[in-house]
Amino acid sequence: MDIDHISRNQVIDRWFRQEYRWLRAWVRKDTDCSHSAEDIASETFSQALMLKDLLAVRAPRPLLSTIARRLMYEGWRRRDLERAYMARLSAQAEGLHPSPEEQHLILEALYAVDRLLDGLSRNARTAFLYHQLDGMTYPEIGRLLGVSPTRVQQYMAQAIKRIYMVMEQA
Amino acid sequence: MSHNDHRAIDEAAQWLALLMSGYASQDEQRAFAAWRDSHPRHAELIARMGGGLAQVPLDTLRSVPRQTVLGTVNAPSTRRRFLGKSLSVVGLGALTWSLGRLYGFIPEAGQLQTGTGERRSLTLDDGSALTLNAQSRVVVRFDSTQRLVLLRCGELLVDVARDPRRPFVVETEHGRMQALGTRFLVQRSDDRTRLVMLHSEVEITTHSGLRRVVKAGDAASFDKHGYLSVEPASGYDDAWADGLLEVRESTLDDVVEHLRKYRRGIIVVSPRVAGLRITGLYFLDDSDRTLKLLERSLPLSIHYYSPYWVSIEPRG
Repeated sequence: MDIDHISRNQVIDRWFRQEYRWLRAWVRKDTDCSHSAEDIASETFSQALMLKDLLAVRAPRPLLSTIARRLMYEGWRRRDLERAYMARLSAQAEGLHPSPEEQHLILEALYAVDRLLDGLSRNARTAFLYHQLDGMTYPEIGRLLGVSPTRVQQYMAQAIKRIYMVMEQA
Repeated sequence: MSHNDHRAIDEAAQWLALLMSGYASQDEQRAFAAWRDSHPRHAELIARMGGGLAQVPLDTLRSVPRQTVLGTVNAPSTRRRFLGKSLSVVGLGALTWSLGRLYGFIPEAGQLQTGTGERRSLTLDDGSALTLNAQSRVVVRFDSTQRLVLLRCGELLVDVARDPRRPFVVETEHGRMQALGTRFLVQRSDDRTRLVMLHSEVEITTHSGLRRVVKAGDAASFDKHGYLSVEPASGYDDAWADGLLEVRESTLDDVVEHLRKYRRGIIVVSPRVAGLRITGLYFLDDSDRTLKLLERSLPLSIHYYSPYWVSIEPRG
């Protein structure tokens, strides 16, 4: 264990003792029963431990509440995606439905992709998926979206950067 | 993340997007190779970004009907409001097209652009003076019949030189603005364009077919779906050209939105202070100083988690 690792753990340990109860109470204000405030509060600390700039943080509460808020949001987002996927599925003939196992894998993949593309415009997400899933060219995508190929290239750059930033952060 | 690294990340993403188009010219490919080899970090970024893309779990989704994938991923978030501004924990920032400037690869002929924290004043071929705000991009197309400036994103201020034979036109995806006089300002946002007349007149023709002459002292907003409204201008819309941000009774959120164009990294505004009203004169080019001024005049405190991550919270 290197020094940095030890001091990071010490910081988190101190925060945990000082702030856990506060954070749990803070989370409880906004969360409903399907999300346990304990789970979110604990997960928040383990994610904070991974932060690169951890040692420079002076006030833990805004940081912890930002992470916790994000975790709550991700929980809700997951349910939004499940609902949207199920709604699409119910519009298809029953015989074409993937098996429950396949559905689970597909949902996990949709969820992962959604998280990587989160924050991008609808056009940027759509352009990226058409390019990556269907191998469509930028001019083809541009025609579908009603924008120039240059614009599509911009969307692609946004998506590439976004994915990189999310993955680097993880 | 240093300034340079931020820039390198932007550039790497731009290069990959160009290369992935499949129509990069040989010159562009050589320019890319030169860029990649000019710094070890460049090569590393390209490798990491490429590796990251390969990890996106797309294989599972290829067999799923496309409309199901798009419909799900584009599903609205029921609780998005909850996150508010703090959603940008990973700061996306508007894209800067610094590539063309640095490496001579220009995606569109006649393109001029500015990056974060950068303003440019230039004189066009006809003698007109054009000033671009930060994070703005224009394409200049002059020919024998007209002087056309396409505003792709951001904001410009123009002082039109007289040329009775060739009208001076600024165009956005929302409509055309033909100068009947001299000095005006155009701001383009995603869904609409705003014109501020500083001197003389401009005739707007929106892409939905509406026409309107806007006089000095007035500001017009329009989109491409038939919306057009004219109201008196605030009188300080062009302060940015002098590096100043003048606001009267603006929300903190709006002020920070302006600052973001001038500051690399992330500024998170707590929803609890986002609506606070401010009047004052601030410095765009010294955003640290501006943040300090805001902290002094409003009940808020500013936390620097790192130079690239600033959070504005209620005080206490």
